[in-house]
Amino acid sequence: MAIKLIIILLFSFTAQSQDLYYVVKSADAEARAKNISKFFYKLSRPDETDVTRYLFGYVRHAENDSIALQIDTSITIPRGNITQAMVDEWVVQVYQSLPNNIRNQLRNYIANNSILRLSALVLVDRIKLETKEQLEARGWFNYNIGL
Amino acid sequence: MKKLLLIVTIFFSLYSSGQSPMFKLIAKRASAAPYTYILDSLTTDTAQTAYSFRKLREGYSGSCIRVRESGGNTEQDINFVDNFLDTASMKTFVGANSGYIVTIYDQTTNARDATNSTAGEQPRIINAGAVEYDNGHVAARWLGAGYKLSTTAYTAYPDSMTSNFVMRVVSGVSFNASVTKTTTNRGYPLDAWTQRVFSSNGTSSTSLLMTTSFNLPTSGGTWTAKVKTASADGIKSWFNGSTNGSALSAYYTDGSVPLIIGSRADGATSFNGYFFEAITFSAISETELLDGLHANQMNYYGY
Repeated sequence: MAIKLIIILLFSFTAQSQDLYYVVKSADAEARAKNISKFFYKLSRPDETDVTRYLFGYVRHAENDSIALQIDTSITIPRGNITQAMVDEWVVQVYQSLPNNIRNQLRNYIANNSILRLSALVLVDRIKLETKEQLEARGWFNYNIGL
Repeated sequence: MKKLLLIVTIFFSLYSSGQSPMFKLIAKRASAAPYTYILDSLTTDTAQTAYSFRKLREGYSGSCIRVRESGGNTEQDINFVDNFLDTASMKTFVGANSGYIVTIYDQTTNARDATNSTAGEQPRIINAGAVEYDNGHVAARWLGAGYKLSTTAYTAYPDSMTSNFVMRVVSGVSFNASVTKTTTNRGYPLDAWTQRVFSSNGTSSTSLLMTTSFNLPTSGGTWTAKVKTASADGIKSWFNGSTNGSALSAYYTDGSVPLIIGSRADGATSFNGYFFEAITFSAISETELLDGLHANQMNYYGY
């Protein structure tokens, strides 16, 4: 009984949405952020005929042009009708390059699951996720509210 | 005779209890007032945008919203049935998944649809198979940071902008935006969040501190914010048919920026609550606003 309760509590905690942020390092950070967001969505809807084309939103630093993708790692996305070539393209667009063994793990995960967990697709050693508080400490979200 | 008495008794007991579907239908038809298309009922036709889950103009023949379902991320337009969002078709489309608004269509003739192409920022209309309702009416759920629907950039308010909306805050966060038209962080000409309405030229603002704050879960209802060219009472607010403050407007320019429902351009002021309806005007008299629009919305939405 106690074990059941622990399992239920565990699942209820892990199901909580948690928005984390990835500060995009690139000369054109906004374009790079949009590209990552687009390719994540293409795993679900590769044909691009929908109005929806991006998975993640992004925020801009209040005082400079830095961009941070807002990523909820608790969510899942339905895998679309994607080919191996599309998965390879996704790896290149999101991660640029990966060691073969990691790339193959991702390939296998995507191929073998119809529901994809963001926590499995976002490689945190490549996409460094930070909390809102961590970003706030570096001046993010300090908006001029217009008063 | 006894049988007749019995039939009459049953007839009246059903009638008075209101339990019989037939009597319910008779009573409904007898009492139902003709549907009012609120935009048609206003004598001045200056609506620049109009979004709702009910039909606001009889001549509008388009869909109500476009919905994405979370099971396969497919999208579909949902129409009106008998002047209201076709929730049955929407539920069939979404099933046990959740549904999100990709686009809410503009019911004026201007086709300024409000949309969001980012899945993670789309307001929710069905939560795990259940249509979102608030105060007994279909309502879209905005969930805070990032959530918004935007038009493309346009200008349409040369002298004044009146923004009317029926919304209710659920979580009184620092900056709950309503319906805005801004540069990054300034009205162009109008910004409205929490307890303030700003009139601005895109760089400088003056603001009104409203008497009743929008930022309270108890402040659901029909709201209007008006800004206009420089004047002593150029910023005004109304809430549920009553004046809610006025202030000096020193700056006013309508710039070519999008109208945004539930946020402003920098995303710093994101709405957390329920959205029912929003209409903007380039001109509307206070009498028509209060006696016509507010009265209609308060009656329909029960505020």
